[in-house]
Amino acid sequence: MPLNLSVKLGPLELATPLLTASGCAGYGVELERYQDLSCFGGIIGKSISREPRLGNPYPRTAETPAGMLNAIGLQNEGYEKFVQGTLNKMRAFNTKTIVNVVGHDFEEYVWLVERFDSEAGIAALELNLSCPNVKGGMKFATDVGECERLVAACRAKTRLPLIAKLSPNVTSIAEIAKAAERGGADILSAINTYVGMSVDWRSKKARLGNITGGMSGPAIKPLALRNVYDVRRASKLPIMAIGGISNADDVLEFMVVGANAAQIGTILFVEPDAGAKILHDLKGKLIDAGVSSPAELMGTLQGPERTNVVA
Amino acid sequence: MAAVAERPKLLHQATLVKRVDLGHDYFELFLNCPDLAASMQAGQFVNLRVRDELLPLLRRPFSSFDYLKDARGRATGISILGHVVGQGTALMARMAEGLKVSLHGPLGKPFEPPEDPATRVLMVGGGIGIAPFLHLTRQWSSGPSKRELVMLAGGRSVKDLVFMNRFNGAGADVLLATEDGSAGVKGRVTVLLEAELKALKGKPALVLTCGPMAMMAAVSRICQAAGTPCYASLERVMGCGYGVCNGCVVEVDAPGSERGYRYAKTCVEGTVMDCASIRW
Ligand SMILES: Cc1cc2nc3c(=O)[nH]c(=O)nc-3n(C[C@H](O)[C@H](O)[C@H](O)COP(=O)(O)OP(=O)(O)OC[C@H]3O[C@@H](n4cnc5c(N)ncnc54)[C@H](O)[C@@H]3O)c2cc1C
Ligand SMILES: Cc1cc2nc3c(=O)[nH]c(=O)nc-3n(C[C@H](O)[C@H](O)[C@H](O)COP(=O)(O)O)c2cc1C
Ligand code: FES
Repeated sequence: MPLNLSVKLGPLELATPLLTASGCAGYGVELERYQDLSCFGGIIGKSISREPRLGNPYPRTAETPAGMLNAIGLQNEGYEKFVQGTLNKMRAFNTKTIVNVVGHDFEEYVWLVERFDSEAGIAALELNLSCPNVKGGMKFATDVGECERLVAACRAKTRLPLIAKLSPNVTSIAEIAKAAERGGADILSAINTYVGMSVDWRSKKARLGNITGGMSGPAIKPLALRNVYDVRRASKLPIMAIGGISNADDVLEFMVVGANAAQIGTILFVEPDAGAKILHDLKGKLIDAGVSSPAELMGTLQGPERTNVVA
Repeated sequence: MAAVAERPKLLHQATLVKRVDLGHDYFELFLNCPDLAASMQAGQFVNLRVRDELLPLLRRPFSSFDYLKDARGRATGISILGHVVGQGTALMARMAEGLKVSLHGPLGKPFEPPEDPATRVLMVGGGIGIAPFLHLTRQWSSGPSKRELVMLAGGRSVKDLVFMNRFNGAGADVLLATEDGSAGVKGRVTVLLEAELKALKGKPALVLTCGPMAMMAAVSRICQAAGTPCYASLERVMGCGYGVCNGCVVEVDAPGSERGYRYAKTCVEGTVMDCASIRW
């Protein structure tokens, strides 16, 4: 039985179910030194805004048990420079290019989506609905009405596959997922980072220049699993799982709860060749399990065993 | 793809051949890793995976302290001078000899030798920040990049300088300063620097510095006043160490930009950077 690793997420077909998570792989250029980028179904670059963003003051990262906090503040070169330089490098990769966009406001998102729609060589757009390290940056990820309105406006400006990236910092991710679906998203990606904090009680200082930051890494994997599980039950849209994915078993766990593909983030800091490694292991594990395609595992979560139920 | 053949080897499995406890929470790890050593330059760093587990999660950045060679002069590895400050370094201080250690590197930009061979190189280090200067001394004390080298080493007390005997015979003049006077002159290392700059009497000089931010800022100010070029190796908290996370930044001048400064990634633009461009 030949193993077929390709996955189809609505209008987006990927050669493998692995992608890089935004902000954790630059724009793919550095990663090429460690692996053939064809191990990834797509490279998702760091969020791009209309104007360049300076980012937050140092310190911007703080390690936590099996995880980390970051408050980069969406530092990026801005649309103009990105399109003139970096995007060309991404187009030359032997994998798909996915552009992640972020705006201060409604107009900025729509402006970016409209512009990128007319650029060649982009396979999909991902909307970073939440920017927890930026003032007022949470409403599109937390407010059902705002989320639907934004996704719908972006939808109207592009025929490219549109991915809505959901934040876990909400009361009900299911409601936001439904709103993004109503707005016309093709794919949902979940999750972005959890807002957190780290403090040194002796100096009485927060370890991040921004005081609070986004938590990522293996420590959030159980939380991410629950979020993906909730999103799967709320929506039929394809899901890209994100959150602490560090090895092939993690990828498969997310598929069982309902993901169609997986983005890897923080683990790339630790193992820059994690893409090649995880894909290699994934093949082995699927073959061992007699599974011919990742899609076979999708949403196969069983109900709880009730061995102690008295009949 | 053509790029595949050119891919540099940056991930290594080194073997810990020897660990020496130096006292006062300092230790030295001797790591066998020929292909890393062959390309590693002083001022560059490796990102070391403390354990093959997810706790602690991130790699830890370290300068090369010594450069290890076999009897025939071929590169065999590097040593790392470590100081216990937290959980990662505490684990490293107890690493068993024979252990395989994952190293990512060499990373960052190295110190560049001054063009004029008559240049006097003043290396100003504080505590653990002295580490890269032994490797530099090995590199610049003979051969085409041979320069006159002076090591100005500072610490709060002699306890912060327990490794200085490793400089014996390495090829640099060594001067010590401690704040409590327990070794060398009493006072800060900047006192030594000011005296050295005065004694130059017009001789070209280059200052290289590594240590606590406040010390490097003071060194930078002194050099600016004296008109002496100065480069610092910055130690910033890192996420990735290879340019993908935007974590390790420092404010540098960006003339013509809206706010006049930008955040530079020290792991790729540095860690060795021109002091004149840094907003201390
Ligand atoms: C380029 C570079 C070269 C370095 N060279 C040396 C060296 O030769 N010898 C040496 O002993 N130390 C060196 N350091 C500092 C060393 O990386 C830290 O002491 C070490 O990471 C602390 O880890 P920990 O788990 O013990 O401390 P913890 O405080 O538990 O670490 C928590 C987190 O903060 C980071 N961190 C803590 N202190 C520092 C610091 N001073 N600089 C950067 N990150 C820090 C850690 O990497 C980790 O991510 C260097 C740092 C940099 C950036
Ligand atoms: C340093 C860092 C920077 C990030 N920057 C962005 C970003 O610019 N845009 C975005 O949508 N997500 C960003 N993220 C979130 C990740 O894409 C991902 O959702 C999150 O880290 C969880 O995945 P992980 O645990 O595998 O890292 C960033 C994460 C980290 C750690
Ligand atoms: S540490 Fe990640 S960019 Fe420098």
